[in-house]
Amino acid sequence: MRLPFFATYARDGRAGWFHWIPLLALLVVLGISATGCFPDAWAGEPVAPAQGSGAAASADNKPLYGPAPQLTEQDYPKVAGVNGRVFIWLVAQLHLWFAAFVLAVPIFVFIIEAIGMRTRDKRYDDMAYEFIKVSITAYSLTAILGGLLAFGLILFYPHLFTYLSTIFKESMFYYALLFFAESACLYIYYYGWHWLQGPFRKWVHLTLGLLLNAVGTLLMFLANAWLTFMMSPAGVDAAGTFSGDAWAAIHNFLWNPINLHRVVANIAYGGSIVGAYAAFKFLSATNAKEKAHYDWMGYNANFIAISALLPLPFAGYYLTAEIYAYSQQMGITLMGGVFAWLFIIQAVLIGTLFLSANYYLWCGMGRSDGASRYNGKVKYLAAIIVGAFLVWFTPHTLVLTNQELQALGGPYHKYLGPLGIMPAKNTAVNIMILFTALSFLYYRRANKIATVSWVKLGNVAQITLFTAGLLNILFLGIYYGYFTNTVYKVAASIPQVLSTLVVLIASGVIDSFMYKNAKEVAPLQWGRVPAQSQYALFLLAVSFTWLMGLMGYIRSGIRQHWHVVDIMRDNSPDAYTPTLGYAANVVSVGTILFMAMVIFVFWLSTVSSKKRSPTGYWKE
Amino acid sequence: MEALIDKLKDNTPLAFVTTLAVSLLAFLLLDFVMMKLQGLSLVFHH
Repeated sequence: MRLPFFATYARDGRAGWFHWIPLLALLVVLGISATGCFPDAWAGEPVAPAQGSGAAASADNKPLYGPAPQLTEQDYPKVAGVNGRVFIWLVAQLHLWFAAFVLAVPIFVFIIEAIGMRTRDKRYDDMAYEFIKVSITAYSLTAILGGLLAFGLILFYPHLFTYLSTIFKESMFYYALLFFAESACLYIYYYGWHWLQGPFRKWVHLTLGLLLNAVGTLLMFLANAWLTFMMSPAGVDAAGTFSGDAWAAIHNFLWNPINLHRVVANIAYGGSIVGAYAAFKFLSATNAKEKAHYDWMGYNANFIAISALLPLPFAGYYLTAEIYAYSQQMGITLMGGVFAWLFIIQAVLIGTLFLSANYYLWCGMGRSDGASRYNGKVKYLAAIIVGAFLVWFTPHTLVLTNQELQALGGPYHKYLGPLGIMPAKNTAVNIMILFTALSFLYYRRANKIATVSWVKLGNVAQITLFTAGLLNILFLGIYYGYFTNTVYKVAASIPQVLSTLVVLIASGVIDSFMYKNAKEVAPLQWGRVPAQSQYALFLLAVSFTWLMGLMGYIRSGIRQHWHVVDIMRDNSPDAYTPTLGYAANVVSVGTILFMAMVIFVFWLSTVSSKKRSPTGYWKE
Repeated sequence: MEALIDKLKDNTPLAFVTTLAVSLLAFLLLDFVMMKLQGLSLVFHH
């Protein structure tokens, strides 16, 4: 039997760099302890406390915590030839990409394994195992990058790190310890996959998967608290003096919105990366059986990515609304100020995600002999989705020269200008989501013939549901968007979202009842898809990566010249908002680095399956 | 109820009009409730 790459490594006793993970976790713990012991050792001059602070005091009136330090340019150590901010920016982003991937994969591996247990179809179990195999190498890279990020922060931003580790000392300590639990769960889950088979043992294995997810999610929630504290500090007074209430600091205003957004986004992202892996394996497959297997794997990965992508814009709106609610200034900087143009790029990338996901589904209909019944409808779906995409990224104002302004007759285009405001975009994205769901319904039906007596009525119900939902979305977008005031415009986005959800859920329920016990047109031909469909999976992974990098920069960048908003000012030479082009270039470099590392991971999986027996090298 | 469903099963245009009307009313009710929950009326008054 061909053993997977890491099983081969373990068997040969050559696990080597794999043991770096606990070592790195230990180094992180030591790093945190060390900075706590000599907080000012990195800076040339003592750091002055903020004025007028009422420090939290112990029983003998000795202050327990000081205010946030007020820094000068000299408080930021320099390493010749290295820009500290860009270094931290890239390493943090790379760490986050890998972390998102390794946290997401066990979520859907757990679900796929459970499906396999329920259906007793071993293909699901094999696919779940292959998914977790891909994430194992990425897990090591996540830990290495996490260690690098911790050292980078200690080196380039020692006072910020000390301040944060004073407030979050408990959570940082347990965060580091939790890595042992995470590693233990992951290794037993992965290496014990074939060992823990059978009626009882499989349940033990599934429980381990649940534990792995629980620990992974807890790790992410803890790290989220540190970054959201920097945006919406809590548990401190106006001078940054910590009250001693660690839970208040963790449970800050933006913690839960980020938690929700990241869980959903990670699933979509993890799905897209394993989809790219399946596409890579599909394109390099040498026989029909392998092609069929990786086609099926790619389809499932895409399904996971799209299932999480559909609710993602809503989680994003919730986060943005909460940012506005916390600080209007931050909200306006985010979407009405310097970062607004990056949202146009975001819109293009989200549109690309929807288009490539739909294109993949349309190509996938080629697997079915019954798809010819629906092929004619694809062009209409494509036209509507492209139309919505164009509205989605139409800018409100343009960067124009004087001549261009004169030619346009003002800052807004006569016809396209009204499409630049949020009600038009909300309407467009809801339509894109609805028609992507419709694409999926067609795909799902392509190889089936319903046998229930109420097929006609079911179809009519679905058509009217989509029609009524669409009319309601247009009514809400047009009436409240263009004939009322801002309060109504914002409020109308909620019934718009709910209309979309109602259509998705209700049509899904009708469809599942209607196609229960349906006949197959012919056996599905896995592997019968054009190569272009696999490039759509690559596009999905690259777009997701770029999008996360860009939006991550925006989220962090809206703090502007603050390390911790309104509490601890950034006085480093880099305390300015870079130009959009510069920021986009840094994000693009990060994306290229990440994709190169991911290709390395994919390549490793290919190398592990190759075996050479050179003649004359070994003694007979 | 069953008689109505049987009637709708055999008459596609009638089924379409009926379900469309019911769906539109349901969505209008959803809009009304959601706007009301936010302290707003369904119709905007200048």
